[in-house]
Amino acid sequence: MSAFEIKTEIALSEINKITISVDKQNEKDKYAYYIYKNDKIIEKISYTSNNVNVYWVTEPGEYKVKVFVKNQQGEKNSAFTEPIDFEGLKPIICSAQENESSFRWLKNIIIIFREIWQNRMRMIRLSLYDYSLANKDSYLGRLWSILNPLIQIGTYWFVFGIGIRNNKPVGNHPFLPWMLCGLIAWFFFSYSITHGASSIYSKSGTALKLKYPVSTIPMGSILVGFYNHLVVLCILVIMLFFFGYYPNLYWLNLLYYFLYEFVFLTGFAMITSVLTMIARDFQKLLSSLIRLWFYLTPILWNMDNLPNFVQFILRLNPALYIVTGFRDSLIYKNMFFIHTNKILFFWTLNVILIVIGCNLQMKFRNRFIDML
Amino acid sequence: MSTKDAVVADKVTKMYKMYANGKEKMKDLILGRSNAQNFYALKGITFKAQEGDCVGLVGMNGSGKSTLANIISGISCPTSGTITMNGIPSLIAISSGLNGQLTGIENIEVKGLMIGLTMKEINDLKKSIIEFADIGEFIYQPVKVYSSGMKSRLGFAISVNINPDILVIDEALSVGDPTFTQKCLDKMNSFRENGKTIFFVSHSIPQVRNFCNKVMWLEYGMMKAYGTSEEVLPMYERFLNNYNNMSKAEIEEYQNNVIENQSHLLIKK
Repeated sequence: MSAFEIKTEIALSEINKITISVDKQNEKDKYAYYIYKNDKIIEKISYTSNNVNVYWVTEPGEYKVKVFVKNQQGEKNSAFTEPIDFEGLKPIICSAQENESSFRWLKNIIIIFREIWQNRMRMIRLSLYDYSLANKDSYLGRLWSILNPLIQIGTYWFVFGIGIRNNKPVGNHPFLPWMLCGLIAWFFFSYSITHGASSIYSKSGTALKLKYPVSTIPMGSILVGFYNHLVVLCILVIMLFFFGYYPNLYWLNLLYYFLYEFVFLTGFAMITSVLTMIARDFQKLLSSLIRLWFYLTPILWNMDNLPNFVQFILRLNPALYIVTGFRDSLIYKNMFFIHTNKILFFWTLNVILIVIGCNLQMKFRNRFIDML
Repeated sequence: MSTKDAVVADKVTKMYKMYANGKEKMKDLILGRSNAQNFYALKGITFKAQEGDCVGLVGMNGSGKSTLANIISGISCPTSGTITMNGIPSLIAISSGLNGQLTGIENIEVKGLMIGLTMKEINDLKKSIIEFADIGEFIYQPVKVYSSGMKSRLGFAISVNINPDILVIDEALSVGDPTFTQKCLDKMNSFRENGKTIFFVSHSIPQVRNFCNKVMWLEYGMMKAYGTSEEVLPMYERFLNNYNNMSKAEIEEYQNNVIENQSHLLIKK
C-alpha cells in the first residue's frame, strides 16, 4: 500500500527528447528515475530534487520510466510512466544543394558582378592597404618597386640591346624606348598573372574566416599590381622624355589598353585562383610557364622578319596585344580602333574568360575553406 | 528576454571525403568519382537558439564541436541541410583570422577593412581594442612572435569590439589567464543582456555551467542532447564519469556501437 500517490507524465519532443515530469507534492521530495528500453533498464538516475527529468534517446524502441519518490520522512514509492514509442531518428539523405536551373551560368555572372559592385569600396580600401604593406619588411621598402624593374630593364637592355642587336634601332625608333614600352606593360601583366593565381590562397587565412566576399579577391589583387604599375610608368615617361617622345593625344589610347588589360587579368585570375585552391601545383606550373610566355611575346625581339603565319599565331597572344598597344600609343601614334579584328577577337576572349571565371568561382567558393 | 530565433539549423550535415592519397583526390576532382571514404563530421544537427541565449557546445574530441562552430559562424557550408542566422556572426578561435606576418595594429586594420569599415572607423575602434587586449608594446610586433595567450587576447579584443550579433567562441578562452577570462566573461554577459547570441565551445564544465543557459552535447557528429544546462550538464557529467571508469575494451565497444548506430541513419548517395 503506497503512502502517497505518484502522478507522472511522459512526452517525446524535439525529435528525440523524452521529458518525464512528476507532480510535486512536497518541496522536500526527492526523485529517482530508471529508464527502461523494451523492458530493460538502460540508465539509472539517482535521487535528485528535480521533479522534471529529460533523457535523449537514439535507438528505436519502447521506452518507459520508473519513477521513485522519497519524501522527507524517508517513505518511498515508485510508479511506471506510460510507455512511449520511439521510431528512431529519421534517415537523412545527403546531397549537395545545387539548384539546377536554366541560364544558371548567366545568373552566376550576375551574382558575382553584383557582389563586386556592392563591395567595391571595401575591395579598393583593402587593395590600397595591401599595396602600402608590400615591401615593408625590407629596409629599402617602397624603393624596391622602382629598383627591381630598373635592374631588370638594365639587364635586358644590355643583353638584348647592346649584346645581340648592337644597339641597332627598330625601324625608325631607338631600341631602348621600344623595348621599355613592351617591358613595362609586361611587368604588370606577369605580376598580375602570378599574384592573381595565388590571390585567394594567400588571403584564405583571414578572408574566409571573416566572410570577406571572396569574389572580389582576384580583382583586388589586380588592383594592387595596378598601383605599382602606375609608379613604374613614371620611369617609362621619364625615359621617353630623354629620347624625345613627348606626351600627345595618342597617349590617351593607354586608357583603353588599361581597361582591356584589367578585364583580361581579372577574368584570368578568377579562373587561376580557383584552380590554385584545388591544386597548389597549378600556381607552380604557372610561374614556370610565365617565363616561356615572356620569351614567346616579342618584347625584347622584333618579329617583323618572321614568316606571316608565325606572326599570325603570335598575334593571338593577349600579352602581345597589350605590348603592341603600348607601342602604338606611345611611339607609333596609332589609334586603338584601327585594329577592328583584334578588338573583336580579344574582347570575345575576355567575355569567355569572365564567363568561365564567374562560374568556377560560384561552383567552388563554398568549398574553399575545406580545400586549405 | 526576447524569444526571436537567432540561429535555426535544420538537418545540418557536414561530410568530408577521406582520400587515401593525392592520386585519389585528383581522380575525384577530374572524374567525379573515387573510392574515397565518406566521413561525417556532423549528421543531421537540428536546433534553434533564441536571441540572448548562450549555448555551450560540449562533447569529447572529434565530436564535431569546432565543425559546428565554423558552420554557425558562416565560415564553412554544410554539405546538406540549412542554417539560418539572423545577424552577423563572428568567430573567435585561437589565432583565427590573424596574419602572423603583420603586427597587431596592422591585423586590427586588415580585419577592420575586411569587414567593411573605413580607416576612420577603424582608428576610432583601435583604442578600445588595444585597451581590451592589454598586451602592451607587443601590439607593434608581428603576431608570429606572440604567445598563444596574446593571440587569443588580440583575437578576442578585435571580435568583441566590432559588435557582432552572434558570437562563436571556439575554445579561445582556454589559453587566457584567469583575469583575462573573467574580463571576457564579463564582456560576454553584457552582450547577452543586449540580446546577442553566444555559442561557447569549451571543455571546462564549470565555465559552461556558470555562463550558458543552454547546452548542446555532441557525440561523433550527432546531437546527443540539447536543452537547458540543468538538464544536459548532469547527464554529460554522468557520461564522463562512466567513460573514465570504462576499460579499454568497453570504450572500444561503446565507440563501435555509437558509430554503427549512426551510420545506418544515413543513406549514402
